[in-house]
Amino acid sequence: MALKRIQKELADLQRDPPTNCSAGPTDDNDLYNWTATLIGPDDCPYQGGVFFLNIQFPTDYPFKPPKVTFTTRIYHPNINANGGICLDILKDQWSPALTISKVLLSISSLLTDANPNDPLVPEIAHLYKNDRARYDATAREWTRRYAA
Amino acid sequence: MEDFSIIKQQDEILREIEERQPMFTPVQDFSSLEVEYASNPPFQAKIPYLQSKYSGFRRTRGDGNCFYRSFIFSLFEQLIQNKSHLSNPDSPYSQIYSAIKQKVLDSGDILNAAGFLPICYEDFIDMISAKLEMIPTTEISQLEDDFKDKIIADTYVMYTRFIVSAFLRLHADEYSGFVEGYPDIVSFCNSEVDPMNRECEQLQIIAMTEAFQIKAEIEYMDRNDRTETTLMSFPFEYTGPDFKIHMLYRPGHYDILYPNRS
Repeated sequence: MALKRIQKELADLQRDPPTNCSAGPTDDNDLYNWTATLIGPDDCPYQGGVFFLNIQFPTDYPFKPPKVTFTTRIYHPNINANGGICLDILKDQWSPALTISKVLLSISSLLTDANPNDPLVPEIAHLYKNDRARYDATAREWTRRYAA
Repeated sequence: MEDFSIIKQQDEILREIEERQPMFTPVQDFSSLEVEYASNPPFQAKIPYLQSKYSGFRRTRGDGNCFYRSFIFSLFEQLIQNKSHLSNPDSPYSQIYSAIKQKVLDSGDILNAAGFLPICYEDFIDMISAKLEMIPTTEISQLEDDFKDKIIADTYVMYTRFIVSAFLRLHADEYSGFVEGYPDIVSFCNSEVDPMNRECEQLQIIAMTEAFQIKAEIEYMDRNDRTETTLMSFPFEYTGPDFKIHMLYRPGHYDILYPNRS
């Protein structure tokens, strides 16, 4: 079931790619390992940045969620230094009714609206809540430095 | 990092359950319940009553999917057991069989109307349709084998989750008052119905039996001081064929019951 489903999602993404996202197999011989690209949405400090992500589908996909990590460094309260993302639909809220396309859209929304109350990096969340201007400046600087 | 470690713990607990408990045991008598409740008099007291009405039960894995899995398994099991009646239009088994086949065929439109994507549900509908078509030539042992394969068993379960979720989403007006702790039906379904391993409450049971138009009778075993379990029937109003799914509820868990042959 996993392979058939992944092929369907790939065809669907190519036919109708979500805004500011693209994704596909890193190597054509391995459909379980993808690379995705996310353009930083407007009106947030990541605007215009080009972020790469790694997607690994488990063999029991879609019953288990894909493993999605940023490979581009990003300064964000819900994304850690290893690229790990704190997002409910990648964990206990995952459902076979979701798709990679929806996951990428949710990650894009997370860039616009961080969730500092459920942080993966408490220091960044602290700055986000207490000195938003400095947080914005640092996030912009990282975007310019790592995601240009 | 805290968040990741909680998820890890939950995964760990689930893995332990998966290693320890089969998806379904064979049908067994109630002697194992007597052992289980040896030091629990309120539960112990209800076992003779169960024994008077039912010849046995089949335990299912307590992984949060137990109601969904028991429901669909029991439906298939009863149809397979009575496959000799499926060509007799007057038999309730034949009537349920035809109705379910039609419902599964129609379910793509319903799931689509509820907002699900075809690429997400097609494979589930295809498998359930194929399994239904095979019922006249299937043995119970083949059904049992299906449920030993985690991917196949989970496909049966997820199909029923899709149906319950779609029913609630499409009847949001009637049921939005019953979702405690959630702002609306959609967020309730996103969190409580669509993910695997999420336990079933009464609302999902109502939705399941309404959506499939199949009657479920559930014996509730709890801590009260009576010597009888409490029987509840879903849907609340049912006028369909004489066909029932029988289940035993113990706090947090559902198993399949097998009534005495009358």
